[in-house]
Amino acid sequence: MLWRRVRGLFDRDRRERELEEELASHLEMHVEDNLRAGMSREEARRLALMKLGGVEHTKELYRDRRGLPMVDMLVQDVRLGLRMMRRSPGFTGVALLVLALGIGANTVMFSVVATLLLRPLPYPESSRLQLVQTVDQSHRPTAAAPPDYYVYRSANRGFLHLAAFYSRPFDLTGLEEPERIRVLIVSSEFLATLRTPPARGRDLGTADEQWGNHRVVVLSDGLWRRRFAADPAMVGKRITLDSEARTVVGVLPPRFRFLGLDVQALVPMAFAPGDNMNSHNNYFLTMVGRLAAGVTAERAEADLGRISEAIIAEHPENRGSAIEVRSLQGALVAGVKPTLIVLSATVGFVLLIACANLANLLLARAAVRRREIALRVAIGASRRRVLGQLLTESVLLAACGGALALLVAWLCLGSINTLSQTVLPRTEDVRLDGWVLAFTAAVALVTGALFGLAPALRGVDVDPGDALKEGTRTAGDARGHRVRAALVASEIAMSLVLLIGAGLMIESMRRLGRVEAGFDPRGVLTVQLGVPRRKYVDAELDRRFSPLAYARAARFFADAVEQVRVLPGVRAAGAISGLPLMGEVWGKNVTFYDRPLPATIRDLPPIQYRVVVGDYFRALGVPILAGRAFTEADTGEGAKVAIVNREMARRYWNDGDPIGKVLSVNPPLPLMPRGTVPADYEPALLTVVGVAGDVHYGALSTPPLPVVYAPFAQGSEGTTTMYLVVRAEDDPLRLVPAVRERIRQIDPDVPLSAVQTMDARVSASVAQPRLQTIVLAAFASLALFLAAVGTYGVMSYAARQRTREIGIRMALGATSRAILVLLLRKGLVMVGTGLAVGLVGAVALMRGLRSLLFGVSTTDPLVFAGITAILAVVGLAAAWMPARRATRLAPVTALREE
Amino acid sequence: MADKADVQPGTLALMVLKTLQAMGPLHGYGVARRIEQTSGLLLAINYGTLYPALLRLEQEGYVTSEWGVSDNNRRAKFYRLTPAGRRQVDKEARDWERTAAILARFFAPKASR
Repeated sequence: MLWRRVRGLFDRDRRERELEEELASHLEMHVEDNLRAGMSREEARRLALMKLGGVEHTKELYRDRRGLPMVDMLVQDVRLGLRMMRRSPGFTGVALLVLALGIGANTVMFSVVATLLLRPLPYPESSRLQLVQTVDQSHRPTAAAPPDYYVYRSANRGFLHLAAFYSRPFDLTGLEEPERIRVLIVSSEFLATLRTPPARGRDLGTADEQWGNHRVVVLSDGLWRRRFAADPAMVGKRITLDSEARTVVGVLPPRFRFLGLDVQALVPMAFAPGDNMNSHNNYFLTMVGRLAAGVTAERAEADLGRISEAIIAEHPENRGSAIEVRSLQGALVAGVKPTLIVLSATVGFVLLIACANLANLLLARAAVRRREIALRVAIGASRRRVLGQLLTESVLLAACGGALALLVAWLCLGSINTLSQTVLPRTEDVRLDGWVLAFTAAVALVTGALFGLAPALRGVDVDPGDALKEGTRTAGDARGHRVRAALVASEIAMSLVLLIGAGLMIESMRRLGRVEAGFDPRGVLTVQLGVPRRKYVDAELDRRFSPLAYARAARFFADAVEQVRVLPGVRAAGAISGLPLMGEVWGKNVTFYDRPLPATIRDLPPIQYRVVVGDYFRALGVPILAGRAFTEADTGEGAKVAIVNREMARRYWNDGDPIGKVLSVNPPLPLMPRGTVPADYEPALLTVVGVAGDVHYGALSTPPLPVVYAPFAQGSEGTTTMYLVVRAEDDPLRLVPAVRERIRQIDPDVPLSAVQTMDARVSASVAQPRLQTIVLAAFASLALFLAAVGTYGVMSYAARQRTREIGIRMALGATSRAILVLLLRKGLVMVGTGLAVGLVGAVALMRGLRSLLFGVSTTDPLVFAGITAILAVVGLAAAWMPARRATRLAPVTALREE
Repeated sequence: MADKADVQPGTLALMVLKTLQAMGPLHGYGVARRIEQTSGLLLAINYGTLYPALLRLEQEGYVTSEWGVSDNNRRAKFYRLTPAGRRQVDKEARDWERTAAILARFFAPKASR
């Protein structure tokens, strides 16, 4: 039965002809009978038709029965809809453009959000994976010490596996070109936790954690292909990492990523007996765990908390720290969540505005189509049928818009990868998949229904008799106008919210741009230099905190800076352990020896520590405000010196003169935890010789912290990674080949990386806020444009409708000024209402922007006032133009209208 | 207007089936006239409603149709009962009788009062 009806949907033409013929033969037979009964031919035919109940009506009844009436009707409506679209290409074009942009923006946003928030991480049963971090009193993540981790690992009852990891660069040498790669140092169950076994070879095992067995490595697929030509016999071979041979035991599956990091290799975490790293006061581990079956994250956290309490009981200096468990997926997106929420809300608003606009366009068209609809109702179409048809038209429009939106999204996603790789994690996973398609389809459908419903309801609300009479204006029109005015007011309100959001972001960017970074980035080249640890650091001495441990490294960096300094085109050269805008990377605690000691090591004031080589301050353009910069005399033999920044002088010397004061960045012996101090421990005492200007080492948006600079040559602690800072006479990038050559001459095993101008670094540091601002501003402009178009449309429609009235008024002597006021009043109310509602909405919604703003309050009165003024002007201009045009009409023309 | 066909679709279908059973193959117009006559002209049906009813019976497999020539030499579509249709007439007739009997009980006391 259903099959027959489905079949009825097809070979429609043949069936239609057959029905036609059947009814014709029916009528003829009836007419013949009637003639036989003595009627006139005309009478006979009229009666036969009446008895049948109308040919068209019968056909309609028959058709309903023939196919599946719903489907049949839909097919018909779609055909009709397509015809309507073809008939008004202007309207269709505008509507499709608006929809493609509106839905497209939402599709892009959804595919990003879906990837980050909804699509599981690429590990089996990834929802069970938790990031486990120690946090300080204010819930900022810190790190765990290895002995603590071992306790957590063995004593916890909530996790199937609990792995620890930290990351540090290793030098890959022994090949043609040395390279510094990112290596994850992991406990043996790391891959088991992720349930991601190596694609080749074996996983790491507990045996690999034993010192001596630890010289193994698991390569990433990328490194294996890139540096070892995807050698199928790679497992078992040896490679050199940090001047130490390691046996390759496995290769990771392709596209393995962890926490957004492009990990190049895994090595087991192992410590030599007595290694200071493996002590209770060395915190550098983060943990990742897989919850045991049936255990919630909360229970696992409580369980770890219990262990943490026990550790704190034994080591009171850990007081105040706690342990936090949260989903790995959540941890990955935590940083970008506010941005995602704001941008999602933005594109949602844009789509709503687009809907309001299209509803308006359709309402205007519904007024034009009143006669057509009235005609359909008059010849027997039911209201439901007409409503269905009008809705089908709008949904059809939205569906076409949705298809175009997919195209827009596809184009956008192509560029989002390159545009936002620095801003968003997992962009490589973003793609148009089934979920996105379903989302787009659903949005298109809802959009179509949303912008089509009001016009459709208004459309069927016609009295055929009234509407068919030429040129009658009915009360329904006034109601329609109110609906349209309300729509425009809501458009204005939403645009105002978006514009204020964009305004706040722009103002925030402006203030960020005006932040004194504390240096002059123009014409400065920066290069990361990493010396191989084995070759340059004396491990024996390093374990005992001896400044001599890094003597070789210090010599290398001094040589490198000197070699670069004498290159032609170089004004000044220096090196530092951490560049500005890289984050606060090297924290220490300061002790002032002319003041009483605090009670515990935790009460020593925190500072940022930087070791410096050569003419760093001049190379980067950091002013020395008092005293002197470091000189070549500040070497291992000379008195130990330090330079502090202005913030340090302000905070600890009350803006007084710190020169000549003595401090140390090594804690004094009485405060050191017992049992961890080497026998020959002696804090290095530094004499302050200068005050440098404040530099934003963290980010432009965070205030500078106190900094202690010390010369690498006499620093109490060293590092293997330094950043060369070269001030060039002209284009700094032109120096790169020469710099590379000089470094190679000193040591071909030292890789250069992160070669960038300082300008590029500054610009990259604000990439995320800039991207947010650009996107928000673009959408806000689109919203402004749509709102203006909407206002203009409603006003010109209203003016056109009142042409006759205006003509009469003018004929009776009304001035054009009076007419203008009359017409503008409506626009004023519309724009004014929109602005008022928008302001209230903005005050409420801008709170969501707080975490994205720098130096601007979420209710910044200037931004609010300025944006409101702009929107008011645009709205009034859009209202004024059609009103003005109406007053220019000659009364006679106006009267003749219609 | 749109809903008229649905007034008593069940009874109309039964009348059509019964007519076809009594008269043999018949075209739509013939069925309509026959129903009107049988009802003693009490039933004023719109002939138009007959065609969807016939189509439905055809879809249900109770009647088949084919083009033929009428008494006065006109091409017309003739409907005939299928074996399933015959069974359906009997079944529906029984159902109807039962329904009528039940309804009659409701009306009977009223009549006797």
